[in-house]
Amino acid sequence: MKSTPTLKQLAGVVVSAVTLLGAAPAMADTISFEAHGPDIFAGGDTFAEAGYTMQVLDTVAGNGGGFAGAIANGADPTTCTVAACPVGNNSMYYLGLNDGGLNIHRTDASAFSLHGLDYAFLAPIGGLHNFSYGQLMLTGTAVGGGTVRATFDFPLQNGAGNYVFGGAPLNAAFGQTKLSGLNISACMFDNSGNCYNPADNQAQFAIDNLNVSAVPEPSAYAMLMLGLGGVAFAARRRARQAGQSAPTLPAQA
Amino acid sequence: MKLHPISSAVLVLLSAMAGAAVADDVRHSYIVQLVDKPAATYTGQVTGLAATMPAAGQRLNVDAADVQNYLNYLDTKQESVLNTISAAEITHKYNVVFNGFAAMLTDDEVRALKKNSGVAKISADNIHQLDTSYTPTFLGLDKAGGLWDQVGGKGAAGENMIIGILDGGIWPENPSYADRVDENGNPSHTGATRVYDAPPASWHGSCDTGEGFGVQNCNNKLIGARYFKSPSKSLHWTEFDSARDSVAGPEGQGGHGSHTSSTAGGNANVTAVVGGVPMGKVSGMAPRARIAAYKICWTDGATGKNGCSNGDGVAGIEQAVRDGVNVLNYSIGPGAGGGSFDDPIEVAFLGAASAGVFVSASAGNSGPTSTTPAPVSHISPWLTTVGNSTHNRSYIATVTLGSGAKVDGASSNAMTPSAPMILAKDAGLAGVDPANPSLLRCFGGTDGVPALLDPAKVTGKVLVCDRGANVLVNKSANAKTAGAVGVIIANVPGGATTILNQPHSLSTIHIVKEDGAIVKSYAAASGAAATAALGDLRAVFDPNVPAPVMNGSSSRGPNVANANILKPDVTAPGTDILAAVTADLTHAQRDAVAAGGVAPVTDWAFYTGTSMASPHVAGVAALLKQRHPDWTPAAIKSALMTTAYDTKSDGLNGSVFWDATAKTTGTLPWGQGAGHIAPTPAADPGLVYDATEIDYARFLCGLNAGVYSAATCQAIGTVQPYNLNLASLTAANVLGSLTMTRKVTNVGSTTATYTAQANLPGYTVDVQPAVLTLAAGAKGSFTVKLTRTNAPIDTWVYGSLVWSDGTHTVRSPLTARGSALAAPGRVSSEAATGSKILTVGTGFAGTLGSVKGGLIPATIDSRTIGQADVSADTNSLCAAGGAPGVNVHTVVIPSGALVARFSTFDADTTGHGLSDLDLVVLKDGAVVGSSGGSSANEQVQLIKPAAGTYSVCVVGYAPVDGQANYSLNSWVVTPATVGGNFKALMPSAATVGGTASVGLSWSGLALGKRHLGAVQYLLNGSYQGTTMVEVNTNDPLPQFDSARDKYVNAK
Repeated sequence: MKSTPTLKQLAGVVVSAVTLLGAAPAMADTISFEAHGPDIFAGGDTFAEAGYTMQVLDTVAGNGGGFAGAIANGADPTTCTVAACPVGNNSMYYLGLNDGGLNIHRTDASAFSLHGLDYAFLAPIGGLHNFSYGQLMLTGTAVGGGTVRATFDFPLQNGAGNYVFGGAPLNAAFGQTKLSGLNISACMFDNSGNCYNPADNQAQFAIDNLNVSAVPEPSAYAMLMLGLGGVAFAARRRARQAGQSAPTLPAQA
Repeated sequence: MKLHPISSAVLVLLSAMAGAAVADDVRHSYIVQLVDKPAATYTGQVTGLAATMPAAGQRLNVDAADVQNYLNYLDTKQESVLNTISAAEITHKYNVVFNGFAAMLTDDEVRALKKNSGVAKISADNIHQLDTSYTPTFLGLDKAGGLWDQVGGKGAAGENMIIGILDGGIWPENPSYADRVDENGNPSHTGATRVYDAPPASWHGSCDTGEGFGVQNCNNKLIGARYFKSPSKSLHWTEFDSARDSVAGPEGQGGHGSHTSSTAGGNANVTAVVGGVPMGKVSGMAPRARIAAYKICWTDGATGKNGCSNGDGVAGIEQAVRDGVNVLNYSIGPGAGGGSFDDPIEVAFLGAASAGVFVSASAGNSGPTSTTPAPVSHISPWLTTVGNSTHNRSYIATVTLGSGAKVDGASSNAMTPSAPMILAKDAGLAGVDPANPSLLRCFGGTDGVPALLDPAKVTGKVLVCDRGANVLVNKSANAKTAGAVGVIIANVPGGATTILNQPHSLSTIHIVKEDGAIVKSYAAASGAAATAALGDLRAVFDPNVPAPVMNGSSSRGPNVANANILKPDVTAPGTDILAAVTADLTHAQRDAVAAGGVAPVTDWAFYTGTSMASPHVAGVAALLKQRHPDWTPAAIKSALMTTAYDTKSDGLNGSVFWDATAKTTGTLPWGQGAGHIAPTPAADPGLVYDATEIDYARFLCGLNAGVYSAATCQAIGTVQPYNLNLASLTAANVLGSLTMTRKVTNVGSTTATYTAQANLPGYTVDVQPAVLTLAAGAKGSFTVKLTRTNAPIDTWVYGSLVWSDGTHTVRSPLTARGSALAAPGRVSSEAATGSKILTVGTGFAGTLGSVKGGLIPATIDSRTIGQADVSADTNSLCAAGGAPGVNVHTVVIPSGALVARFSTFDADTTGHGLSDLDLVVLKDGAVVGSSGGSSANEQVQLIKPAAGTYSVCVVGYAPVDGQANYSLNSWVVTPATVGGNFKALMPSAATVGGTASVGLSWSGLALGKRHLGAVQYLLNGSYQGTTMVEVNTNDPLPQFDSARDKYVNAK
């Protein structure tokens, strides 16, 4: 896993941040997508779990109502045809498709924070060389204005040649930010190492086990300042190795 | 999907479905492929075990220590899987060209193996069917400077090459297989002079003894004879439990293995005799090659049918590669519906090719003029697939009238001694008008009408029938039914003027109308005293006959497994081929042979089919390997393709049912491939397009074909199918423009400068670089960029790419189809609730539209069916409203239907898979689809069917004990037939040359059912294609899809 060292460093930041927080008043939940069976979504569709509403976002290149999301059953080996689903997750997980994204907010419109999630690359075809072709992009809207961002290189393949899920620890970056909403999407690297979206429908991702907590009262702003420091740090350490990028994946004939 | 660990993932699904599946305790034969590579393709992934795949152009040596070590490793790994099933049920183990085994398994055992992590794939052990006197001259082999001359003359052609024949055995007494010559220099088993030395030192084969076959039957020409059969198989009386080809005649099915082996490598200077008539001297293509017979086809004791199981076939391929053959011939098929790359036979041939063995295979006899057209078989790029075309020698025979007058006509089987002759008008049943045209034309049961001929008048006589209205072979068949001993078919004034060689079931001569008048006036003058003899069958060379022409029965492309791989590859003579066969023996004579007591007679016959074309290529390949020992199988194939020439017009211009824009025309690549082989130019092709195992592996990885593990694919990467280094360039989906890559090797002796010329109507073709200067042995790469200009979309167009250095012309077919969308034709699932993501290729910018229907379970109509009259035209019986053994199910299809599918299944039919039913679908009396496999697993699918009333006929081809209960499953999917909350979503933006994801989902489907849905893709309202969605919630087993068609009836 070529991006592991970077992730390890992020994890170190997380540990110290958690230590500082001590007994933060959080109502921890996991959005696991188990409540909703396998399904597909167009831009604008919504579904709910654990007090959160997920709204599917179509690609910005489209008309807003195209195919942009799905819930996949990791235990069904026939979910992907030509496309190559990630492996190692036998539960339900969410797929962001065709350069689309997912907006998450509390159904009761209160604030929440995000501490981590599992994520993977959804390859348009199988048999790709073992590179990280893009990133997962997280953009949070902070209560009271401003945004926080984090990006993570997609995890590489396992020994069997399949893309797998990896963990994105977010306490340092997001955990202390009170969010009113969160957008998750993906981007693809070009030859210069820039990550772009829309990306000819190939910016596609899988996510699962979003570790979230509702923040019922505005009591800990001071501590949040520490967390924002961590965000800036993480943004500087965006994980990616030079020379691994590819502009566009080959079309399947 | 192979990207998932099948073992754990399937388990969850299966546990949720417990109880939904139907289990049959009857054992069926399956082929189980294990996860490790076989020795022929193993490249060193296991720590401590070196690679065993041989270098390019070399053959695998199974005695090498590394190979033995790896085989031991595979054996140990196999044991852990084999231990889970009863040893008694294991019929074959494989590890050289295929890693796995064949076994008789119950449904429960198959479902258990599906979950075993050591198992890569389980295939039903499908049964396939066995699908030349003059042809060396037609091929130019024996001309001065021809390929025979180049390798030392006819007396050295094929020297020390070993041709392995996978077929129905061999009749060793035929002089085609003698290693001695008589005092005249003609091959003879009893000749005084042995003209073959001991086999090459590399030979490891043996002469396995068995019923009617001893070690004395092998010699230094026929150097190997082995047979492969599951122990439980019962044999028909015409069979021999040995490598001996079975008996021919009315009940027997033998002759095919002798025909193919003598065509490929039979001795030269062998006098052939047909029906007592000497037909001149015959020779195989590589007359000095050694022959090794591997018998894998058997006539079944219960059914009387001859078939070749995949399990026996893989065992034969495996042993032939171990033994050290240079070339394999496989005139067997067809794969159901064209086949797939992961079929065990195709995978085993990949092993053979990797081990350095050239494989020639028959394209199939399901061409546009056959009764049940089907796609070309043997679709894999690592083997050479051969179509069947004509040559310009024809066969005539003589009618000798009692008056002494003689007239000649077309015939391939005339052999009726003098007998009373009667005109059809005088042979009618009581009450039949003598002027009834149907009587004159000898209509009868085979035409689906009541008998008109009176057996009391016809028995023992030669019957004269008029041409017209019905199929020629029906006239002779009806005459035979009435007891005739011979038939004269006479053209009539105003009718067709040709005379044709047809596969008549009775001694028959077809004469022109002038000669018909002579025969009739003699009959009128002589009355009851008239006699006629039919005989003097002989070959005549007719330079005015255009040849070669593709035979209408030769299976056409495009390749259904992947349309970017051209199939067939080449064509060769396969029509009216004279070669060795087995004799027509009585049961007692057969028993005497089995006991080893007599020297059996030899025989020859004319056969027609791609089965006969394939061994021509096998023999020529042996010559090319002899001429160029360092050439790989791919280099030999390339040389045959780039030097091939076009066939002549066959007049066909229909569409094939699996690809509406592909035409049946024989001169197109779908018929002739790269063209007709030209052996002598093939020996000096200039350039070759070479490929080895790594290229095929990348190709298979790119298709997710499941032949290589994901770990292997990760290590080696992928190649797009249109970029596989074949001598044909085929692009099935040009999404705007497409760049193909190729690499050529200069196999000439000097540096040469080649210039490219390419054309493709409606496209610009840019070859870069357009000039290649290559030293001897050097390789050069180039790209071919196709950009669509005014070619219509979704339509195949045909052109060529030619490299020329002024001496050599290296021609490749260049074939392309512009598309707006490339989408999978079919997706499937076993989950009652599921979602699905499929990647499509996009050749447009904007929004994709769609229409969907389903998911619906089948409408099931359960009935009983008897035995049909299979000699009749069952299509006519269907159109006529049915008959005994022909049940009509009427189905109304509304307008706007997306798809209609009709299926029967072994699982729903009495007979445990042994009942043979067929399906034919008619609309307005015309056949719109048919399915004719050898069991009750049949399917006809109509995409975008026209609205109307359809007759779906189930035909009782051979129900067990004459009767079977079956269920016809019908799905008519329209936008209004919805179920399972089926959803389909399309991307809202797409780019030219890009990809996009399409989404499907459903929920709450009933368990234990087969559901069908469909999605039509639309661009600005116009149709772009269909993806079928199958959701089988019955924990399906691998399905048996066995072929029934044999070679085209001998003429």
